[in-house]
Amino acid sequence: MMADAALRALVADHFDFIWRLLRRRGFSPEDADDAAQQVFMTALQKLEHIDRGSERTFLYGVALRVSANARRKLARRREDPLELDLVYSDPQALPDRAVELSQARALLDATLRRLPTELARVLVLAEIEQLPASEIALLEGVPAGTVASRLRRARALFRELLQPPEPAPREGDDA
Amino acid sequence: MSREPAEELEQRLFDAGRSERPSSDARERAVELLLRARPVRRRFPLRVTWALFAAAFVGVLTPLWLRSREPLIGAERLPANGRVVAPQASATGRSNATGVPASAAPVQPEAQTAVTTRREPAVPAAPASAPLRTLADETAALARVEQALRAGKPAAALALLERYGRGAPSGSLAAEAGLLRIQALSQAGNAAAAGELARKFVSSYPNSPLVDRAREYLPATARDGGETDGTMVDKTGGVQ
Repeated sequence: MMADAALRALVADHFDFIWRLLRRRGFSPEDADDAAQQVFMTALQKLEHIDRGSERTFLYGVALRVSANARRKLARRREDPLELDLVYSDPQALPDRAVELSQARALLDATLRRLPTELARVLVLAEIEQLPASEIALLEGVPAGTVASRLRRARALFRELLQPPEPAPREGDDA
Repeated sequence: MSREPAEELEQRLFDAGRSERPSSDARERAVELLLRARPVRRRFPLRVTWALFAAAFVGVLTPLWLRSREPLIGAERLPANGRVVAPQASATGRSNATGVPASAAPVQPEAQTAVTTRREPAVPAAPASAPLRTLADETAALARVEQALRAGKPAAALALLERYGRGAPSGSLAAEAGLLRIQALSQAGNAAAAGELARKFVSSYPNSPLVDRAREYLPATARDGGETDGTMVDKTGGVQ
């Protein structure tokens, strides 16, 4: 049975990481709270036997499974057109460099959702958690070369999605 | 008004993602849930269980504690230096029995009772050369260090830390181990080394919940009554 101190250390060391992962997989902050708690609860039985240094990898796997189950419910939800319109509609309407943090995160999540899931995962680990490729390889359970090639594709695709489409000749307001 | 280049927009989106944090409430609730979720076979209502614990604590552990005033691992006797180990005694009472940062979870009345009752945990004695394989091993090792300090055996505590240090602690437990080392050095009468380590602690872990406790060991100007070695301490607003 795990000592109190061990449980507290586990949360102190890994909760934020797991929570942010869940946020980028489509959970609202409140839902991410619950889902993150669920991840730790689910992992609890096995955690005390995991080797020191492998806890994060184990929790990561549990987080992916927990979020996969929930994502099926989220899948039907369309991207909120508002966030995408901020970028893709009339460029003059975009508040230059004044996008609120929550809007930025909403756009981040909407764009990530449009990537194939294995590309989105490595992009999040590289750009948001700022992990080296070797650590990403451990978490994902793939060779470092696979991580590198997925990252290249992920970055290219993400950048492309942020580009506005070719401006079509438009009169007045957008529809 | 020009459109923001995709490159800059991208960086801003990533920065927004990086800066997001869960509330401390969410973290604390996770700890609470985990503590409650551990499989405990309860044949009695919780109150009866705690009553039994209390009785056991008084009736059994007191004579054990009295008998425990032997050197733990053959450490040489240290000169009693009359130093009141007030910071760690009160801090131990405040925080978890194994010194985990108090802010990791707000201490609920029930949990406080649990912590107090389990002040002398029955930590399984590990073989001297056992590697620290799991988090449970590591926290058990730190608990033994704390026990040594509470028993007034700083040399034993330092020896345990020496052994522990070979397992390269990481994460939040590294700060725990650091603070215990400071306390052990101080208790052993080595104020200079304790102060130096405290200085390093404060600069290495400025955001640690333990940093104020570490500051208590910094060379003080006036507070601890003449420990100063003439070094100026940063006036960061922390209480010296």
